[in-house]
Amino acid sequence: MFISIDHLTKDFRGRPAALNDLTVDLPQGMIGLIGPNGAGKTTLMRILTGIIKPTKGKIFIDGQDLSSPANRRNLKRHLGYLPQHITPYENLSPLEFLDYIGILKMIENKRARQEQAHTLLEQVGLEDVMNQPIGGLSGGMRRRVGIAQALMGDPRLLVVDEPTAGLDPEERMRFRTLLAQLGQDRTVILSTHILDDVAQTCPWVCVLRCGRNQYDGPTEGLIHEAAGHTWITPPIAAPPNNVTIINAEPTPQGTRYRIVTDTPPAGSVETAPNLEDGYMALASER
Amino acid sequence: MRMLSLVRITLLMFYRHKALWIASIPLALFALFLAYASPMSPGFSNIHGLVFTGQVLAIFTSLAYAASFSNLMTAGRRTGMDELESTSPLPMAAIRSAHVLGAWVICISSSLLFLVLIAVYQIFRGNGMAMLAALAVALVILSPSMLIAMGISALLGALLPTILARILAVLAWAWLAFYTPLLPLPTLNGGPLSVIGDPIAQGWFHTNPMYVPANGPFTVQSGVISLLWQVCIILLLFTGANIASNHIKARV
Repeated sequence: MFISIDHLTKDFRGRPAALNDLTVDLPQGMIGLIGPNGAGKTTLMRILTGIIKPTKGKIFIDGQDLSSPANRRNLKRHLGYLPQHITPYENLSPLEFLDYIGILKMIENKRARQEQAHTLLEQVGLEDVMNQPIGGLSGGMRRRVGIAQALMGDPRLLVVDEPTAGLDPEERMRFRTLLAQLGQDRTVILSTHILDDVAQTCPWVCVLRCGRNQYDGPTEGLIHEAAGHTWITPPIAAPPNNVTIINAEPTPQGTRYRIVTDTPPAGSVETAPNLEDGYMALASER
Repeated sequence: MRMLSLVRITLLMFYRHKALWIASIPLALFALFLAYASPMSPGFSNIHGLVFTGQVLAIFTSLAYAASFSNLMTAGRRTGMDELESTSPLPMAAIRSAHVLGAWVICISSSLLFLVLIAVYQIFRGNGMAMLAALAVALVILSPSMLIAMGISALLGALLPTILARILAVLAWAWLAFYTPLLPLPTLNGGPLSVIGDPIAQGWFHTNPMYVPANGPFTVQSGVISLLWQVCIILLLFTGANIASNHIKARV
């Protein structure tokens, strides 16, 4: 699915515009949606999924204008969505809950729904608890139920908001792999603050800031923003001034900093940038 | 078919909702005791007894539902389920209607069970129409009252903080059910717009009404007007709750 967002604006009463004349084209495949808190990521996803309507502007998916109710309804048949905060109905078991989601996605055949639910629950590692009430499951398990429900109906557009928050490292990697597999033949929009997840899975990235498009293009391009500006300092006692500190590594001689700057402290060694460096370099350009 | 599947899942959800049973069964038992012990009671041995019991059950169990359903339209906002359900190609109104129907089936089941038990007792005493009467009472007296109480609760819950909505919904139901026309303040009781089944009970089943009608005995037509009025109120309450809930969702 090719998504074209055209001068999109969303105003909430009494607050700054959540999206401000946003224009961006998103290709098929895995797309990382990143940006600071309040950048408008969740608002964009809620508009894309048809939960709310934009104040101005349009979204076209494969050329179909989403402002038309018929097109919106058609999109919803092929949509999987995992909201940032979701507590599935606690009285239901994961299997019953996925059955419910299957009904909502208009999968008419009960057997098909049940088979799909079984398969997905196995994929997210919940086969042992698929008949237990969701209320009795751990936070991570509930998150996995949320992930499984997003995949019901084999959606062609998958929108996931912070999907790996609350998952243990093993599950996170498992889900990352699953997403990357899914992204091969459909569009997956992954919104996250975990840049490592984006770097590992998304060939395309879109950076939002204050409701505007700050960057959209290949992930490599964003990493390249920090090329020639990423340094490792020698161990020093105090953090350097006027630089963007990416991380700090304590050593017996002092702290070694990874920084993004044009003017590194004496003795710093240039290093190959990663997505975090590129993102911070872009942020410091504003 | 799709609606049935939705209702089936909702039934499961509410069936496992312990608080609902804890609130409704004791109230139903209390109502049953009142229906038997009240000086107005015609006893349990005839159709009039069934109708009277249905009315008392409607009045008292609906108190619990007025208090219980303030988050019927809004709970999903807190849990994120509202967002998820909004991404379904099915209209949100259909999904919410299924939730209401599922809740209604569970709510009516305990009261219906008591009515059916009374009907079985009457059948053994030779009243062949008792089961049909029990079902009719559940459908035209008990159900509208319950749905109105649930609707008031859902609408107030969509507009106000839940705890305030619960209190106001109980007060509103208490006014609708207990306010006698003998006091010099407005009430729907005593008229065809009463929501506790008096016009239907007297007009269709020829029982004595709980509140004396202001303009002579209720007729068959009063019963029809009353039922239509209650259906309109139910539709208005739930439509209002749905609209209010959607409006609030769009703002956040």
